[in-house]
Amino acid sequence: MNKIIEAEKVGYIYQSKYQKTKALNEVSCSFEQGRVYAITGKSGSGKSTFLSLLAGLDVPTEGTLYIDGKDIREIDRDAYRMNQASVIYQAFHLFPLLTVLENVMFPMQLQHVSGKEAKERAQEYLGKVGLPESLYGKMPNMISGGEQQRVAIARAMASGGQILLADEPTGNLDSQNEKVIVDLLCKLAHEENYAVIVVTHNEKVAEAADVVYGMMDGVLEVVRG
Amino acid sequence: MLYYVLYSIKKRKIANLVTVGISIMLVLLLNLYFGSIRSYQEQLTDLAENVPIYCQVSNLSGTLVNGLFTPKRIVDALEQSDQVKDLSYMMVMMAGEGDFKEAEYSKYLNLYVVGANNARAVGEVTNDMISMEPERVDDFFASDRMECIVNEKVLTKRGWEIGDRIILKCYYYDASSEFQKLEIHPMGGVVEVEIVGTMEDIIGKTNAISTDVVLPARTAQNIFAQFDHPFFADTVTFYVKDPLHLGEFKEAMQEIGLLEISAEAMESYPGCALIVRDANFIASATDLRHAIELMQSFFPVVCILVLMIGYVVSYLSGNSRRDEFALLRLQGVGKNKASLLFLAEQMLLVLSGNLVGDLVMALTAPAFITMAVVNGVILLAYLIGSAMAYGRMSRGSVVYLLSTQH
Repeated sequence: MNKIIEAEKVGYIYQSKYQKTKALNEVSCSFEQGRVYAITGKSGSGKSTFLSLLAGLDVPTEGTLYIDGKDIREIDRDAYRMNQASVIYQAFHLFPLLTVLENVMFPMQLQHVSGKEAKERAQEYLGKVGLPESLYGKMPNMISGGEQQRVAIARAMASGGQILLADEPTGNLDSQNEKVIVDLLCKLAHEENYAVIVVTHNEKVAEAADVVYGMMDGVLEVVRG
Repeated sequence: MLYYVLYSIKKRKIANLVTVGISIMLVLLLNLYFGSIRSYQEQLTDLAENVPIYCQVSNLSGTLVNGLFTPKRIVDALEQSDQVKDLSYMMVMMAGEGDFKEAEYSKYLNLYVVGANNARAVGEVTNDMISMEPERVDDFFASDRMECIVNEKVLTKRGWEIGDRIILKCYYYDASSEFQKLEIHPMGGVVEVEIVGTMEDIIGKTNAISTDVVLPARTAQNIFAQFDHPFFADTVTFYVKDPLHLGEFKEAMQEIGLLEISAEAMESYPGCALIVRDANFIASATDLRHAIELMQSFFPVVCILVLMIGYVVSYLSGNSRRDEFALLRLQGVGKNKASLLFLAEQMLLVLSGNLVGDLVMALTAPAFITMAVVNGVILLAYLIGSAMAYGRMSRGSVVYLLSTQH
């Protein structure tokens, strides 16, 4: 299997005016395509910090994080997020002024895909996440949480990357929608060859993952896998 | 990305209307501000035309402005001065027709003769009161030809006709006796002048004494010179050429030898002082200058205010879009590009507001230079304000922005 992400003794220190806080401590691990990874741990354990490093929203203060064998400090991290890695959040983070369809078309428009093609592909992705066509023209605040999260996953797919990062993707959902989303993430990994990395403290999500890491006080350990 | 800017403008109707409305208001207010300064400055410039400063040469006590003896030296200096405009002066002689004996002067000396440099100097006569073509009138007064214009009543009474040559024995006034009384003395000979026109009798039409014969000023001066008598002007009036530089004018007049009026001075005939009718002008100019200074003193405040409005509007607009900014960043839009996106949108809205404001101004009070200055100031203020606001926003962490999303 291809190691698409590899962390080597990654550390991260939050530095404020008054104090330094070590959020990650010598984290070493790797992620491959076609698998679902769950990172579990209590609030404040450092798992979201790790996810933001994986998303290229920040860089490690210690150690090295490799994306496709390249140091994340040396790559264009904006382009990385635009073309390779997508992030979904508990709060969905859809563009509130764009319709469901336009939200999914947006990453493709950033990549200068023509309007017609972007629309066709967006409809295809929305179909894959099982969203009814009647919702395509709705604004995000007019659909349920589960539906919003499916739109967020469709938008992640639209960017064309093979890395899907999810921060508590089921945190705002009921158990029925939770199952739908978890199944969708597993399907993406196993059928579409995505590397799916989920930060969660939901046991059901962790159970569905192929590999489970546990994080405590910034230290990552393999729980299962 | 233009697609996104236009899309965002279309979707955010109310917020955008507020931004455009503020721009329109700023354009109108700033036009009002700069327009007021410009209007005051124009009024000040036009004040010289609208409130001219009239000057009269007088005696030292200021009690006489005609019947004076103003020396040739002063008249010549005034004619050459670049501080003076519309100079009018005249000198007075008495004459009798023909070469009569001096002992019989009381019988023949009955013509009131005036030498003047323009029609106005002859007791407020206007060109249309003279029976000559208007362009010839000016030529007549500027010449030194031995020609004259005769009061039409005198012409009829004496049976003269235009084109006649008449012989005049001239007498001049003298105030040089020790008692400061006027005396009249013969010039010492006769002169021959041709009648080239007539003028209406001015009795009842102006306050001046009726004139019988008018000579060009230069001709009259030549007559004085011919008989070797000093020439004095009876009346000298003029306007200040550049009232906005009154100080320089007064210095120039002092150099010429014209003194300030002294109420304590004795009655006298020499024209050696100057009455400057500048009270109205000074009052108006002072008021306008104060108004301009007051308006200009607000300029830094106005600039800061516009800058603050530009900053606050951009900051509030940017702040309300922090989530959107974070989402754009999350989708891989670089922070500079995302900031530029918001900035472009803001500038498009401000430009639209400016255009509407300009249109209103162009229809009501068009002043294109002021409008250009106003647009420049507003755009610059918004550009700085927006750059500061969006720059501040782009320095924030995306993770933090997303975690604090509403």
